[in-house]
Amino acid sequence: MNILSAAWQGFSAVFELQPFLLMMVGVFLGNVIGIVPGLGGMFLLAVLIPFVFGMDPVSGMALLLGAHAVTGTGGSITSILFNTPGESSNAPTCLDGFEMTKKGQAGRAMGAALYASGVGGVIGALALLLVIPIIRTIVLSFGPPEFFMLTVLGISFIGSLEVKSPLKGLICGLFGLFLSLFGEDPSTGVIRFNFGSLYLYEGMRQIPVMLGLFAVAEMIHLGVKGTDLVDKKYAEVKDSVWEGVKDVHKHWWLTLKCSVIAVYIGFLPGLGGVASAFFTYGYAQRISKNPETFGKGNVEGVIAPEAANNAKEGGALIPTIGFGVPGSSGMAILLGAFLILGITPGPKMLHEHLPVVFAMAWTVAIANVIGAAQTLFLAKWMARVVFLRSSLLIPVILVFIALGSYTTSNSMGDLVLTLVFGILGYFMKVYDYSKAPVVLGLVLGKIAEGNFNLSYNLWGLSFLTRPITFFIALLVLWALVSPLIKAYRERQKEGEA
Amino acid sequence: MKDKIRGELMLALFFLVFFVGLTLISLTYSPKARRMPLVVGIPGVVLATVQVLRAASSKRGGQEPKEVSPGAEEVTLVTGLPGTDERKRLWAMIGWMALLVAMIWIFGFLVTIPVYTLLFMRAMKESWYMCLSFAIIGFAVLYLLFVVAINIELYPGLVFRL
Repeated sequence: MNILSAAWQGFSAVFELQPFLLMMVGVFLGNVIGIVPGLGGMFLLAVLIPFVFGMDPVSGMALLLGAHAVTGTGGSITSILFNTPGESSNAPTCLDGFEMTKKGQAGRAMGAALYASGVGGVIGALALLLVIPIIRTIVLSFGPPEFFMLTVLGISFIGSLEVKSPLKGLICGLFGLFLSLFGEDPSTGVIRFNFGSLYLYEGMRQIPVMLGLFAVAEMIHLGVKGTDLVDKKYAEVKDSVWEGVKDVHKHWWLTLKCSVIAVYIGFLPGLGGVASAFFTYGYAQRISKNPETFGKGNVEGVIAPEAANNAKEGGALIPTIGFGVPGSSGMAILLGAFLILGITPGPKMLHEHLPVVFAMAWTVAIANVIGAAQTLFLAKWMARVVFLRSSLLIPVILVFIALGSYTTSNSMGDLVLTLVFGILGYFMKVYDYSKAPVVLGLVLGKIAEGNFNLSYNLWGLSFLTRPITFFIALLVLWALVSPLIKAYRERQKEGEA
Repeated sequence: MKDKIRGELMLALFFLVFFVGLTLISLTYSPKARRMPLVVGIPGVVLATVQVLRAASSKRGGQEPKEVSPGAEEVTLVTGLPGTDERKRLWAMIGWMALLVAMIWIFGFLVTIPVYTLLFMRAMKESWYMCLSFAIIGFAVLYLLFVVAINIELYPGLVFRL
């Protein structure tokens, strides 16, 4: 079949009444669920799958992809307003988004985040359309050593970004990595560091740790300060959501580059959305003219992870469709839904159901535009919530956090873990230890260990000499050494002055 | 100032104890199971030791471990543990968090959420009108969203399980 005619067929199929309405329902649900911490895209897919039985493939896909594509969009709202990531992949947005809120720029941050999400999602979908013919070569060039080295690169990238103290950043990265080693060792079945607790058999769960480090810590901080979340003087500031939209236009090159990076990370199976969001955040800081303002309310720190968040969905669809290998856990659930709808992903699908493949790509693109527009419309009103008194905000957010923490795995242990990491997160905030490397280490740890063990068993330490691995290792070295060189140069400049 | 430096040191020591303790524990596992913990733990011990030494040397010198950049936003400047009043507030906040977890464990979500909201807001001297409104709205949203709309079985609490 002609590619262009398949693309057109896919496009027109999405705009038929039933698929379009179902996509709208999916987008709305995705936005709502994305706002609730702990209830992410995977939860929503699992809930929606029973409803697609008996639907035609395009309608079923429209509902599921429409919902899944925008959960990150809704999740950015709570990250910006309350330092509470709606999805794990929204965690980097907290770093600058919440700081912007504290400066009275919540509307601007939300405008930037939502618009960047929409643009990123469209770029991801377009990448999916363009990359289909060359998928195989790229994916097959990456083996366990390359995946391992990519995870190391991610952690060293983020860890060394602590402008004031790269040492603290690296300690945090290693701390997160160590936390990921709790529980069952996948290669030997040995239960490690559970201290006799049944709860720790499954290791440290990510959502409670993240909610503790970011959200609970912030609530403790707010309670200790005894003031309101946002200074009342900012309540008078006419804050424009459109200012954030303009920021995305101003930083269009950053948006584009971060989206492309996220597409690439998204389609490498197993790395997932959190990695792409943190990678791009780190990248944005590295290339920024004002890296020292990251973590203090730099809008580039909001644009980069949010563009990446939605762009990676297009990327994650590539191996899912092309090989039947899910690019993320959400895609693994989606893969199950494909089978229910009578579609078998893999190379055969690219030949036999090409219009459906294009319909998927269009759905992701259109859903992102609609999702961003829906939330942009409401952003101005949502931003006013932060001007509530802390005595009203704290209990509501604490309850929200408790629900989010509990509903991820219905375990009381999660609530205790959230509390413990909340206290630790507070002290980390007070003493300037960055939380981002902890989260990234925790998320990537298991992937790193699995790939490290595989590589070591297959090649011994000589896996480090494989060309791509070696190249990434050089990047790791650069990530570790460059902050030291930069600090040395700055000291010299200060000395000369 | 002294409090901040002591706090820096304590947190650095926490990380050092964490890495040393878990690296030692990992030595009790089989060679394969301890491979990754050692790969992560040994650099962790080294870096945490350096940080402890840096924090300790600032303590001896009586200096700030690092300077806070000028022009940074006021809220981010709150570094170092605060004075007695704020320390009391810190313990109070931790107490409120612990109370929330304990109440959920004993009474479950549906009871805890309105009651906790009401208690917290009353303790913060909000009016009864505000407290009751927030408690009722919180309960309604929780019930409608989780129980009715998405049909999630929320933890009922020890009391209501019996």
